[in-house]
Amino acid sequence: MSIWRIAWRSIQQRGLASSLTAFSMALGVMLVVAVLSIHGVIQSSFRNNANLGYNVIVGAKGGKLQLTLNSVYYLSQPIENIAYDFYLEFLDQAAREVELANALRPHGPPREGGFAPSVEVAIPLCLGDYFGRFRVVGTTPDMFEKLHFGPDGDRSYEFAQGRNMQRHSRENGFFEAVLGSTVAAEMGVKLGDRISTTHGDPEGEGHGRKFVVVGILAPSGTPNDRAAFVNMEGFYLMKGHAKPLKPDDDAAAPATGLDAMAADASLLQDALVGMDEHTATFEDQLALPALPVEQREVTAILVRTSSVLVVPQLQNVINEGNQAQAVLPILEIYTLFEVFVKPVQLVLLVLTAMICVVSGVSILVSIYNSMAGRRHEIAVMRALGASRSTVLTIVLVESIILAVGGGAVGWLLGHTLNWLANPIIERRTGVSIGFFDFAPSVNLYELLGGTGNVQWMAVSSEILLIPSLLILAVIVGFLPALAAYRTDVAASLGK
Amino acid sequence: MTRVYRIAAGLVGAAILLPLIGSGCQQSAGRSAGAGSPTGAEYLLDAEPEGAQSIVDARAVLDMRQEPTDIVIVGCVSGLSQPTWDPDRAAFMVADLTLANASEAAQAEHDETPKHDADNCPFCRVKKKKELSGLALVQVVEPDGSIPPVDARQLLGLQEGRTIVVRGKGEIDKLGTFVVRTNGIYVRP
Repeated sequence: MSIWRIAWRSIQQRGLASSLTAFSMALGVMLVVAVLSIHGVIQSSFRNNANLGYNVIVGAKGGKLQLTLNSVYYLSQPIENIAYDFYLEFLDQAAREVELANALRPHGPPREGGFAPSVEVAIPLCLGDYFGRFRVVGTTPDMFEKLHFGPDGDRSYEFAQGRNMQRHSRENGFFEAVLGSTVAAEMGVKLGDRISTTHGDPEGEGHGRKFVVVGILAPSGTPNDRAAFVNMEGFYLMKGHAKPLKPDDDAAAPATGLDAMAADASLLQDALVGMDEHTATFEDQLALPALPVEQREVTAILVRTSSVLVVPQLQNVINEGNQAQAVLPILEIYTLFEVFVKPVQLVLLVLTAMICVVSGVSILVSIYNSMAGRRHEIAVMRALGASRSTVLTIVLVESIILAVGGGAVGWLLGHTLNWLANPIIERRTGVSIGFFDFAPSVNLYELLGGTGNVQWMAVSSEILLIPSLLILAVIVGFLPALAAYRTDVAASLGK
Repeated sequence: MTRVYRIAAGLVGAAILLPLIGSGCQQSAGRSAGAGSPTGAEYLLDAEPEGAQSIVDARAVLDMRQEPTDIVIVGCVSGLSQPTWDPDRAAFMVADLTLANASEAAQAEHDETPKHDADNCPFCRVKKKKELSGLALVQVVEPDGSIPPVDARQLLGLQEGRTIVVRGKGEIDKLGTFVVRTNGIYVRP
């Protein structure tokens, strides 16, 4: 009879105690697998969101992380707004002329923006409103036409229903909206519905203006799934979204009746049609003209530069000025991951590893307690010719079977848990986990202190569970194995 | 008792080796620099152009002229602490030789941990400004003025750290970047 068979029979002999011991190990390993999987999901989610089609965010001076969080993830509060004129510096001559067509005062001879030669795409964002618990983002149709996402930045935004919003359409004027997939599902909104937003807070004052939902995005796994996008032109036409004209602005402008009304800090567009946004009908909204550029501000600008090599100089020039700051979202996301997320994950991993160690101790206790009753059995084996080392090996093998067997069950439970939770995870993060998807790799070479790119030593962190469990089994099995090794044959046979 | 320890040690050793055997081997992703494509050879000069200036000196000249000017500069292929290569087109950074030599020593002093915010560190900002003034953006241009959409490492077989002499039209753009549009590069041996 082989050593493995003898060890297995011994486990069967104490079926209930062995099963419970192995089960405690299974629970420990299940938790470790779950934590490692969560780590993988967060890592994939960060990696996917690190490439949203732009490499620089320009916003008001303040916290860099805050600017990144509210521009990329629509979290936290916007710092402040920046001048619309500053945004115009990112546009080429033709785009600037379109924007300046409704200016109240002259903006000098036609020219391209100062930053335009270094910029491929510049998308403005206006933040501040909510739709339910979701952020409302005032932006342009370019958001879904010119930005690409995914780890390689090659995925385009797709519409599950409807189409992209337009800057101005005959049927909806400036008031078109596109909803992220999560927003549409959670708020129960369909194409063609008219939605209103709240100002500054999910529970804030409701705006009277209505936006028509013309498109619902297909799930992208990006934060855009959890945002409601409205046409920036319509966003400006809501109460409280127009910047009052300052006296010097007014002085610079030609003296017209329109300027006088704007200078009175009343909303120009409301004054024009003589109505309040709560009493106006949707048809009244269609008559509203676009807000003059002098009354506009943007919260942030998403910029894709023409080359990665121009980024340092662009960032330096913007940061040296007093109007705005430029941050590199990938760097901020990486910092967030390294400084905040990874330590939390490490603590979770250590806690779950401790659970495995406690389960290992229960194996020790279980086998050690059984030793008293097994002295006679061990003595018989010795009398039949088994050496001391054979007896020792049998006890160690018993410990290994319990630890690894429990670990295997735990792995299955952990992956079953992942598989069951996959629809929820995919809906919330866009990251899909299959039953056989392993946790992200760790590089053993780097783990052992080596530097360099030794890729063949990169293994899934779940693979490390196997040696860890074996080492744990040998350590915890050693004490009872030693007791078996030292069993006095003559004394035990005599009992 | 020694046998006991030998068995235990053997099992522990097997446990450590097991994942390495099970994980399988993958080829290293490391990529050696190419020797340059046949089309890239037309941009490489056989002889060093005369009258090469340092990047700092050439910038001073261009600052005064404020228009594209024929220049010859010498520098080290490096972005210092900034990116060196544009992976999408034949453009790369060249650093003034004095800055490139000082860079290694400075790098050792520079705190690059994620917690260190170089943009908000006054010392790092001064350093960055100095660095940027000693860098030139070299763009390889075709006769029609376009930049080949291929990494300069592949097109020209260039490597970081090589000293090169660049002949072309230089200008300081609106952002203050020293841009050299070139069709002639000499790589010093």
